[in-house]
Amino acid sequence: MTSLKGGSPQKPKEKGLPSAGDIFSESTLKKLTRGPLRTWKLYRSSKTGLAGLAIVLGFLILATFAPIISPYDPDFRAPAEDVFYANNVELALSPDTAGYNWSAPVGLTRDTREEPLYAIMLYSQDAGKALIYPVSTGVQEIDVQDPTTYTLPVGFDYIEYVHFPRVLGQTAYFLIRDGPIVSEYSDNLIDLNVEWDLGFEPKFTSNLWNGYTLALRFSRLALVMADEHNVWLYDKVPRDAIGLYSDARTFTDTLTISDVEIIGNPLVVDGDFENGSMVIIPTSSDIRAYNIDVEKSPLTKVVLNVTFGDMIWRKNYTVDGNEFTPIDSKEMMTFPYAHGASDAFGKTVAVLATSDDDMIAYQRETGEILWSGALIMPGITDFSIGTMSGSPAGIIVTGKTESRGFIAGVDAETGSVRYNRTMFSLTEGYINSPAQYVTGLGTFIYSSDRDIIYLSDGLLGINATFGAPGGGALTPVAFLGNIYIQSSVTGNYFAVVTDANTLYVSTLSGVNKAPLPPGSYPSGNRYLLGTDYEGHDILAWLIYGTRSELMVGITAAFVAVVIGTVVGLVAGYYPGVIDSILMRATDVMLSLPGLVILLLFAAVFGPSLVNIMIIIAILSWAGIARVIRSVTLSLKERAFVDAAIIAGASESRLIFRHIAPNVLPYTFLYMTFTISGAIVTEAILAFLGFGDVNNVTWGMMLQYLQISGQSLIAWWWLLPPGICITLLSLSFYLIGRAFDEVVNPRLRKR
Amino acid sequence: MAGMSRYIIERVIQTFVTLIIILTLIFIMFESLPAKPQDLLAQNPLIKPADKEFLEAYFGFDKPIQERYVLYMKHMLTFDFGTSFSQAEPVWNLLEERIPRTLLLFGLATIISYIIGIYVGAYIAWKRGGVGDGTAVVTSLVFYNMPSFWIGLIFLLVFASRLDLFPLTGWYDPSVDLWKPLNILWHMTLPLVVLVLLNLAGTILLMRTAMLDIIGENYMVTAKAIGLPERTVLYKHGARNAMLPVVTSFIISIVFSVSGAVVLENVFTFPGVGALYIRSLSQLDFPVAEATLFIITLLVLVGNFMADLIYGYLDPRVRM
Repeated sequence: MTSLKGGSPQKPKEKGLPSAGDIFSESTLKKLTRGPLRTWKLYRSSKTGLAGLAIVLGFLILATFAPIISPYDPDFRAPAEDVFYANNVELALSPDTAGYNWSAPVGLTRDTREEPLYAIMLYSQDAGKALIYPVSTGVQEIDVQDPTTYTLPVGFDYIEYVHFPRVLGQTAYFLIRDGPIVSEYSDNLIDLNVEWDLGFEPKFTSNLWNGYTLALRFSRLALVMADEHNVWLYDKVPRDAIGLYSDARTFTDTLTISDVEIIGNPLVVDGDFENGSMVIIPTSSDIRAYNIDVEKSPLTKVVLNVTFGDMIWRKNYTVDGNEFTPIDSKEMMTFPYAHGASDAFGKTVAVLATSDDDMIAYQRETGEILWSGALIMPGITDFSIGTMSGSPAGIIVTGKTESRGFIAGVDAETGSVRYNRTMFSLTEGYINSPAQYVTGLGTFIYSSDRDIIYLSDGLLGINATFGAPGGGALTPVAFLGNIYIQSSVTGNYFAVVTDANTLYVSTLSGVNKAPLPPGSYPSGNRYLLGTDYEGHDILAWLIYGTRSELMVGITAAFVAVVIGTVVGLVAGYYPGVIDSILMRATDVMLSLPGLVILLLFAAVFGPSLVNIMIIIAILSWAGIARVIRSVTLSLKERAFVDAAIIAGASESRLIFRHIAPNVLPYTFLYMTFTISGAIVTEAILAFLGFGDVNNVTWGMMLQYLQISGQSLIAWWWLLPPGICITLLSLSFYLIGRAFDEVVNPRLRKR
Repeated sequence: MAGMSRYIIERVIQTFVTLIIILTLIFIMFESLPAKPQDLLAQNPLIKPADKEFLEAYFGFDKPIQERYVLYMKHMLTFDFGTSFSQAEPVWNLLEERIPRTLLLFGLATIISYIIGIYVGAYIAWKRGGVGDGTAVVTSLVFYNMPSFWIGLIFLLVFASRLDLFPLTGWYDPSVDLWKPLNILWHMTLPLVVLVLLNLAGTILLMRTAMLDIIGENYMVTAKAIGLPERTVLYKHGARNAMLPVVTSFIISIVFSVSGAVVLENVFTFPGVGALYIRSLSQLDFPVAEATLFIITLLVLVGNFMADLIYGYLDPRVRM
């Protein structure tokens, strides 16, 4: 640092009335350059300055020691028992069946899912066994009785359980497949009713059409199985309305397609017996639809026969001149599940997945392509699609990329991924179960291979998670059925087989209670500031968010100040054209509604931490440039500069060794104000939706609050982030104010 | 007033030049976005073919960039905004009813907050050291650093939701049986109060600082010494000079006020220009986004211009 001995003719005093020259006096500068200690002494006299400094230090400590201080880590979610009402039971699998591979549990209900659960079935293909656990109905608590074991051919494939009421008692059938043989067992799983030898070994099975036709009031089961060239139709028709047939009847037919190969599941689309039952079959060169002819008696309307009919339409795999390759997978097609009236079927679609991570949707009656190209995420390595039934209707896509698994909801009519929250991507693992709609709760349940079970709402926001009990799940989770008390659904069952060879059954009832207010909860956890809609602990997020806040604020401010200082120095030092241009630019920047314009940027270039910092920096540099310029201008006139010139200093030496150091205090000063502004600006950007989802900040907590619709309810979620933003911003501002008094001594007199 | 007309002319020219520069910048930004209007047009089934052709001619998709630029400038300066992508309606129709609303909210808030702020700031500086001084300063500091939407949400929660004193949305609700202007005012109260509070904070702080500076000046001491009444000294001599930096900061703060208003329109569901802008961004509705951005910028520049005029009136030195 240059020491200014004998320097300028002015010798300002600290006592007495300040004069204009004091603002940039050398004595102030001497103090700053020679003694941080003396700076501190001056700073210390401001109480608010000290308070600001203390608070900022407090936040710094929070940020650094977050893992130690925070009660939970940011990924923590309140367990289901806090968020829902839940009961559960663990049942040991019988000793002689332990050690085998078990299927996901299957819920056996009367007719459809909308009837009470009456048994839970597990089966094991390698053991050739099925276990059925009876479940008591009509009670809120779980009451699962001991299982009965059934022996079946080893390697059998469970297809479906069909239940038809009849005049006296009920008829129930199990459909089992063993190689090319399809067998129908009675509900005791012992009596073999009928067997079909398909003559081929099926590779593909359709999503079963298990419809509840209002007119007839009974279930109907239509099933199609196929290999590369043969298609087998199985149609179980319930008893008819006038009692001519008091039992359900079965019709079968076979269709052979020799010219091409079938490459995926055929899809049965039912038209309520009246119009347009059909089956849609994907082959190696095209996708084709065949009629299913339902022959009825003209007088009594009793179904007499069900057979394959003619081909209705055929389309090849070309969209806009591009040929795509359908995925050769077992779960290729689906469509929204619709009950009842036939006009609802006009909108149903068959959806095909392609090898470029896209989906193509065909209108089922004509084969016309409704939409295509729903690219959900780049780099998808595997995906499967299923029905997102309930409301809103759509398609659920689960899959994985190189780095993460995901589940997304796609609108069945337009092919668009519903807005940003209808996609959930896991940081680890992938979804290993279909997303199953849980009536009564209005949510979806699914599991990941990392042994976590998720409960999501229709927007695929996560409402609750369960760790798979017993340390790990062996099977994907299955939603089994409902608990009914006097014909209303009061709860639901789900189950999973765990590592310990135990069947874990749980009930969930009631609605999602999250966001949870502060307090203690059944799991033994205490949430000092409550939780948000997805069960994250707010205090934890607040503490961890400090890191992002400080980083964004300080970095953005730093960049802004560097730019501003350089511009200001150059403009101040080189008068004339350069100065004019730079100042015009600064003026324009200052008169722009910057935030508004940069929202445009954020909307298109995407919210990421770096983009946000750039935006804030661009918004902030102009004000600093102005100040630095005027400081530079007046410094230039100071006598010590003249002295240096006389002494032979070069231009750059002048700038860097003489002027710049004297400008630095102002740079620091304005940096604190800029940080203060940056923190609030970041909060605003985050609130409007432009926040980086991977780095949660306080502003984003408020955005999630707004989106979840809880902003007028969850005061424990609304207040803390805002208080922290205000506090942190205020503290930097106070530091700046106090420092202002050090740098501008005439402020001190007040 | 001496030199006033020259000053006004200067300012008009300056405003116009700035407008052109800003419009050009906006044009450059729209041109460099990866999403292009022509792609969006092609994908949107709602737009009739006739409208599509019109929009293609309007934007000049297949023309070189210079011609597009000229086309753009011509449109903006003649207020010819085209048709919205998302609503197949002329943009001007959408803007027509919103501009007065935003002006009303924003204008009222600014005027109220500045009038109150100048008086309060001057007064507490004069009576410095009292309880009022400390409280006002601390409160102002806190509000100055608060995120605008947050205080808006709190107000909504307390006054609209819990206490049920005010409605939840920001504009006229025909179902409520109340004389229309009063109805509008009642709906507008909450966003107005929030905007006023936030602007007030900055104004008070600044006015106080400026006043404190002035109080020490010689002419103020003289005025007191020759026995002028306290109020005269305070307001006519002190505040009037202190207002100069306040007006300067007003110019800068208009920019922030507009940004704040845009956010608040979102929170209070106030159907103004800002809300339209944000909606058009998320839908990538280019005509609407360009038009609203232009209108907002125009409002800011006009506000600046008027502030410059006031400054010119107050400070004769500028007119020389």
